[in-house]
Amino acid sequence: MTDTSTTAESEQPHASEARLPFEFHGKAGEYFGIWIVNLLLTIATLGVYSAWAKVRTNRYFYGSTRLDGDAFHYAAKPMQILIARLIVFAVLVAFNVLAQYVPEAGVALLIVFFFLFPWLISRALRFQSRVTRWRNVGFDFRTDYWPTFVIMYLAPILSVVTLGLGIPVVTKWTQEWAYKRFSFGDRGFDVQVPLGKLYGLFGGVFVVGVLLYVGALALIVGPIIASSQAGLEGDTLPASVIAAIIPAYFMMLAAALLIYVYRAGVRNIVFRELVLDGNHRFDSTVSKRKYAWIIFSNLIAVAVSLGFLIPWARIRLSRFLAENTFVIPGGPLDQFVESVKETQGVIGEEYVDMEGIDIGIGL
Amino acid sequence: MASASDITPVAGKFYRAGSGTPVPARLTVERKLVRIAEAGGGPVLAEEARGDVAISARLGSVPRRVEMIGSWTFETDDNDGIDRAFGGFGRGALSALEGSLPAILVAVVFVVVSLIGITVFGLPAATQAAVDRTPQEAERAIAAGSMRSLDATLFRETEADESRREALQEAFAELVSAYENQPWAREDVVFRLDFRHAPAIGPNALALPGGQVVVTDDLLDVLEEDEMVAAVLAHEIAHVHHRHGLYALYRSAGVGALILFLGGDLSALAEDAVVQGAVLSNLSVSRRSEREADRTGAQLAAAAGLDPMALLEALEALTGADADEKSSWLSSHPGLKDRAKAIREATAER
Ligand SMILES: [Zn+2]
Repeated sequence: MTDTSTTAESEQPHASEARLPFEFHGKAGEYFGIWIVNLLLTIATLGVYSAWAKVRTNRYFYGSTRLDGDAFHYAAKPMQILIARLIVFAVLVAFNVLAQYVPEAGVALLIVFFFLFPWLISRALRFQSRVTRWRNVGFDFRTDYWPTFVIMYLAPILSVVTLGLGIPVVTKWTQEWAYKRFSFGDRGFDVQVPLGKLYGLFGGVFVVGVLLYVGALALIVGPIIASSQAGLEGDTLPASVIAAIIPAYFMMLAAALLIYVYRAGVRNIVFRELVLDGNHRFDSTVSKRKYAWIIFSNLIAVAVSLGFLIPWARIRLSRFLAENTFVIPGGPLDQFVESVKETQGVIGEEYVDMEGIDIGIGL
Repeated sequence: MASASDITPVAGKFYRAGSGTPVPARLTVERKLVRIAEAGGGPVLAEEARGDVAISARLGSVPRRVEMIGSWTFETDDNDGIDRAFGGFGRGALSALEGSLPAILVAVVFVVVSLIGITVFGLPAATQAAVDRTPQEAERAIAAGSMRSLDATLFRETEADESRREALQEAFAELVSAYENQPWAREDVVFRLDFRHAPAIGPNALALPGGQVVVTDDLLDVLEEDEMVAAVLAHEIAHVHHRHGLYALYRSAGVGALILFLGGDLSALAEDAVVQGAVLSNLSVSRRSEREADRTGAQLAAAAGLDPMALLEALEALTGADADEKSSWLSSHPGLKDRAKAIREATAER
């Protein structure tokens, strides 16, 4: 067992209990080799290898993440991913060809996709969960159609019609929807996200965001108004406007980074309420400022290095998140895992994998 | 390579299928037999023929798994131990490549060179090859489909004067026959001119793949002289001849496929950079197509007994600009000055 010190540190929530930290052992140098060989073989095989590349990448990141001394395991088979990708590719090509020749059939197919999508998403989440394993036990995700449909289509509408003020409600629905369906073996996760805390977080982010936008606009618009009042004319922008563009641009960028600040805050709130099998709890201590800084500096590093720092940036982010995530066992972990039953037989032979969909191990 | 008779045991954890309880264990491989025994001289937990167990490929320093599918799993951090016990089997060439500095340097050079090669040479060549192999019938079907969806969305019935439309149809027919008399003309194109009211796209003329040309009412309003419209029609016929519509269609599909293929290993940001690059290069391809259509169109106009410079007057009337405008990186059409020069050169060539 790793750090299980029980020394009481007052004030902090959960501080008096044993907190098991997630550890990340991935190294940028080691991952760079894996990454560049993946790219090389993907190009050399005209994309076919990308399925093997995905498995190797995920095996590396999962295998480098440990809890209580044991690593996670990504159990998907490259062939599953290749077939899933070929299906998506074939459907996309067929759809595009059809839409070119018979636009009406293209529209009809879009409607079919619209109703098929929630099913696909929940299947993909189940696949993603089932291939995630720890101590020889797989995670699982319970699929159902209409709740997924509501989360996918109706929740975003709610956040739009409320001019964004409904975002915390949507966040609560989405997080609870996902975690209530997620399980470790046959033991379910549960979470009741406190809406008040989400609104507190959202309010802060919202105010800062509005201030940044207004500030940026004022920086740009002010000089324009001033120069037009002075009766200046001509095609070129006055120097004062040009001088204001760069700080205004950075203020816009800062406003965009607020999305990450919000996400980090949501993660902390949700993890503190998350419960596994009724008594194991979690904690997340992601500092919002630090998280935004890592996202921003990663962006700059990747851009300046023409992409070659992508491996370093990914490792850095994964380490930061793992080190700020904890499990607070409600009892002996070994006894708990011993009692967990697998929900799946041999790893699901499914072909539903989607890029960018990941609840994985919540890291 | 270590001999298979090396029987230093590998320490790890043993799991029975469906059980999350690790049993500390030692693995040995002896005479093609894999044996796993409880640590500290305990009982034998499993014994299988070496050929029957699955050994996960080595990957950096992540734990290794020896597995009897559906029965048990042995997990260990001792990657070297596993390689020794199984005589290097399962170490795999990949892991060796990923960990070797010269191989990584070669990979970096290969990746950079081939990404540049694919975008600069591979993609245009593949696009042109696909265009050249597309039958005329397919092109016409695409045009019919696009025309139907445009009619359902952006297009309305034309409100232009009927006698003027008839005169323009005649001019179009003359241009088409001038085109068909050219030695380099493509034989299987069926040209067709239609007029539409389309306020959304303003004064414009379109060449859909396969010979379908569309002129908007707004264009007829701006260009009062039929000779100017005819010059625009010649330019559109040239687009049809060079199959520019199909080229643009295939090119964007190719760029999409390229991004999809590499997608797994690019970050979202790098993907953005690739997309932005693709947009810029699409614009440069578009400018090249316009220049090509200007040149061929001017030749056609001259062959039909029209003034090739009428296109320039038409463009001036359409953009409201004078011929001093230069082309830039961010425009889909070349500047008028460049186009004027190209048209003069094209007509002088004859
Ligand atoms: Zn054109």
